[in-house]
Amino acid sequence: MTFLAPLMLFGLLAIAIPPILHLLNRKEAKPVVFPAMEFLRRAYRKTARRLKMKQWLLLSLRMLLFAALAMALSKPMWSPNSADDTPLHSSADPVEGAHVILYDTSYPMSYEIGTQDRRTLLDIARGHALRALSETKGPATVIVMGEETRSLTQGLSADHQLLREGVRGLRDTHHTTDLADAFTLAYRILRERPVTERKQITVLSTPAQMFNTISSAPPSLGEVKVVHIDLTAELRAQLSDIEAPMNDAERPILSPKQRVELANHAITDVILSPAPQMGRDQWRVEVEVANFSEEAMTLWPIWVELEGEVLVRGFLSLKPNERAIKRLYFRVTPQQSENPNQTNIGEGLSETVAKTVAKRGWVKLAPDPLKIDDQWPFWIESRPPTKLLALNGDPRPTPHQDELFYLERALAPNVLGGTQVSLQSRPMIAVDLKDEVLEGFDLIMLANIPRPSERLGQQLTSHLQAGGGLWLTPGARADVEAWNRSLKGLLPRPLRGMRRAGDAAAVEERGVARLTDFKAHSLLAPFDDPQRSSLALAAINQYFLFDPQPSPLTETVVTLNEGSPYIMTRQVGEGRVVLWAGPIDREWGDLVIRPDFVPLAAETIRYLNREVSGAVLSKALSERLTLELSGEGPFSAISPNGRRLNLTRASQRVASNDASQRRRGWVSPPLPHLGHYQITTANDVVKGSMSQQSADLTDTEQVIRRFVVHLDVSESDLQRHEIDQADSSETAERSTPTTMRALGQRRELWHIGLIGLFLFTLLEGLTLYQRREESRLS
Amino acid sequence: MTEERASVSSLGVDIHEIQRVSALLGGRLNLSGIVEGTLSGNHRSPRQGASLDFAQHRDYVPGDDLKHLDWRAYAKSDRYVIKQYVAETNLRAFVSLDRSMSMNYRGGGQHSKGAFAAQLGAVLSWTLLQQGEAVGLITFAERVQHLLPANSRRDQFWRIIRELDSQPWSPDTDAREALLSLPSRIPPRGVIFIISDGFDLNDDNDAGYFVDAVTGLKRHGYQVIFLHVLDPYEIEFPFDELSLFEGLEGEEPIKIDPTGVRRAYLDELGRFQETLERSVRATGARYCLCRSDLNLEHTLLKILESAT
Repeated sequence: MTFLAPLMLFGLLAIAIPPILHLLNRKEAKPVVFPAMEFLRRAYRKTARRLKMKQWLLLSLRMLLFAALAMALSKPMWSPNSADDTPLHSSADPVEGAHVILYDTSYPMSYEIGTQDRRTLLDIARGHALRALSETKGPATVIVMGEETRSLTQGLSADHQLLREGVRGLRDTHHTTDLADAFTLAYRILRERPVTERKQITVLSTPAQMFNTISSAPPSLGEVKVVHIDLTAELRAQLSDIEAPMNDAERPILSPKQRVELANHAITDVILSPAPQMGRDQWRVEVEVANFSEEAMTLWPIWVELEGEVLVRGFLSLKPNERAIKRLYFRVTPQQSENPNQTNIGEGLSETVAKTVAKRGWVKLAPDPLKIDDQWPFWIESRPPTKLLALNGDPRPTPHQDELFYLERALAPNVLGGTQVSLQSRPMIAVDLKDEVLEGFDLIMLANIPRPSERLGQQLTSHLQAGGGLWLTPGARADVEAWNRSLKGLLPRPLRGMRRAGDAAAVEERGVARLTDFKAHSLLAPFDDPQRSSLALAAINQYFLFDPQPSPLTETVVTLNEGSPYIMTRQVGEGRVVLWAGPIDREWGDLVIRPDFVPLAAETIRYLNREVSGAVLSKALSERLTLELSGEGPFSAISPNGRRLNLTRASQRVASNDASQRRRGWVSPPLPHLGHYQITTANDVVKGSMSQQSADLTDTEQVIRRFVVHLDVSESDLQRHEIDQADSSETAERSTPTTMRALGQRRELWHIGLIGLFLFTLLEGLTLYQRREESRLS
Repeated sequence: MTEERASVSSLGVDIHEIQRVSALLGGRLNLSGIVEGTLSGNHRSPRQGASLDFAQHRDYVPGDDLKHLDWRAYAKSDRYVIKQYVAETNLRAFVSLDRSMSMNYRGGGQHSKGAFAAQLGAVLSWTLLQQGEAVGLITFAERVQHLLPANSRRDQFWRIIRELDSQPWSPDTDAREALLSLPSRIPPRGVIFIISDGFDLNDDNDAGYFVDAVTGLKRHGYQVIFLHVLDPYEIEFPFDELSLFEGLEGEEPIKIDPTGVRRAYLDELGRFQETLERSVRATGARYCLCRSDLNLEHTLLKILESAT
């Protein structure tokens, strides 16, 4: 007996309700004085047993009432032959009437079950399908389950030769099975046949699908027999004859028994992250491996490949049916792009801005019979260090008093992780810079310099127009007029003057201002809730006031509780500007000693450098990728085999807090292949983006993002223990080459539960009525 | 004299009420059909004329034999009076009340069974005394608690009331002993009203030995009238909730769901009452079932009906 809604069986717990209610409502007996005790005692002696029996009967009826309700809701089904698990039909039985074969081509069907001939489950299924078609007398069709669920013919067809040819041409895919869809389609196809005609649905899939809940056939179809063919039965019967393959030292093997039982190992997840604590350019990969077998995995090899080169090897031991995470560390040396077609972008801007080196990587497990789930792709994008020129307007001989002391610590390689920054500090006190000085730097920082010259302003404008970044942190030495004059086109807002915190009457904490209003901005991306970060605890004693009228393309990121903006950004050409309302040392506040200053500084560098923040994109096969991209497109995703998938705009505009209002959501079609993908766009649209020309790309295209598509490993567990136990006891008796297990002719039993419910209610009603009548009569 | 005393006793016996009920009966309780072998007023007696000692005059009532009319007195006073002799006034009536604890139960009625019995006894006594009969009082529980000899004196009624008030309730009852000992303690011949709930008479054989007691009294020349007093709660058993039933005479309490046992209880009680009535009537005694929630007139009329 099976249940269509087995979760409803938890309702059986409700049978405890009547006894619990009885215990809860048990009242203390009220003392009553009564003289005719002798008669009462005699009456009690006569009725006590009958009364007790009646009460127990009533309680039992109530409990059975709940049980019947739960049973009815769980929709029990009874299949006369599934209980004893005996084979009803062999493939030799000719099929009368209409026949629909559900043919699974999902990735588990590529399991190599044959030890010598490398025969897969799909090959066995093909043999069954061909044999079944040849023995079918009525019309038939084959429904393929894989990348999509489709029928080989428009409806049922009498041309079995055409179907056989179609079956021979079917290959395994990397997709998963949707048995419910296949059954729906099968029922739809069978609907065109007369009700009285015999109908059969044969399922050729893995044993794991055998007990999947499927919807029962609509009553309008008449009787539909569902037959699930056990593809492993033949080999299981011949288990003693199967020889174990030779075990070479490098390749561990599964025992023949486990292979016949469809034992499998799979990589189920991979997380890649930089590991600066392990040293420069170190990466860490966390691999989740599952052992779907009854045998332990002992010293199973696992390794990381990058562009075909093995970077690190390891071994893994897992108990039967266990999952575990294996961590591997490896070093990727940053390389300069050697592409001769690299575009030189902008005057005075380093070429290194555009030099991102991406490498294709794989995490691999020593292969087992199902190889496709023993690997997982990833990208490694290593960049050369970002060069930051910090013009120091307040250099000090004592290190911790220096203007850039805290920034240098925050951007140190062992702190920053993935983003590497090469910081060069240069004292600058009212001296113009030569053009060459700015050359070769990605980002410029003006740290509390007193009077930037107009010449410097022009240089910085050129730097920004070319896509560079500028970080402004004015301090006590800054000359407001000189800053406003020289950096007129660059400042998010003109400076007005210094203000001491706590002057405002409304401030509760005198002498201290706090960062309170955090806008949703990519600068604050590292913080889940900035209000709870240590930034909100920073005490600001002095800060700059700004002109209330903001410049174009300006955004305020953080505002003080006194209402004045503290951190602002501005888009200038292709470049970005970040302006703080105070210096980056402890002179005007203690923001720089707060722990969250480090991620804020790192994110500011990423923002100015226009890097994409966030984890490496990863999607499962057949899913759609949705992401934000700058520019108007068109964008394409290029699959590992060179297929070009055009991205379309998402139906809803993605809310963007970035200065660029051109960022929008883009959606890919369902991703068809496993492996490494690149998102490209026309070269003139995204200038200066990180790019690397690929062999698959045209000259006018640039890669702007990369992502990987991995396998949906939800069907990697091919075993079903219930089946194993049932089948192992029958292995000896099996002599027929194939066995069909009938799941058809199922009878619904829920109405029996409802009848029981009705009867119990009736009985309870009768019992209560009888009691009432007795009470009334006496 | 009645005005000098409290009109209501501690048992709720209201003299005005008793007088009212007695007046409703015409002030006369006709026991002619009941009493055998005695002669008093309108009672026929086989011992008529046995004594010629004049005792007293009394008013003529219709039914009196005209030969006893004192014509001389009529000629003097123009009133019909009957001459009575010593032997002819010897009608004794005893009211015997059960004072066991079970009688001290009040369920659905206005009074407890004991109070109702006392009122009933008082009405009977008053009416009989008004007719010039001699009335005595017996209270019993496990033994005869008190025996007030029969007398027809004017203050006999108040003695009876006083005795009723002063006798305590007894936790134990052995009515058998008390009733069997009666013939040896009271003079022969008369009427005795036994007012009881009969529970103490009950035994395994249901009122079996009560017959012995009645038979003994009958042999002693007494007509026995058994007034069976029951509370409406005992008759109807109207309880619904789970209860712990406790007896009044030290019985073991039992916890029962009353709805389940009601039918069986009523069967038991009905059988008991039927057996008792049959046994009493078999001895030639009279039986009358009295509900303690009914009023006195109603009950007295019922008694008269059963007596005739």
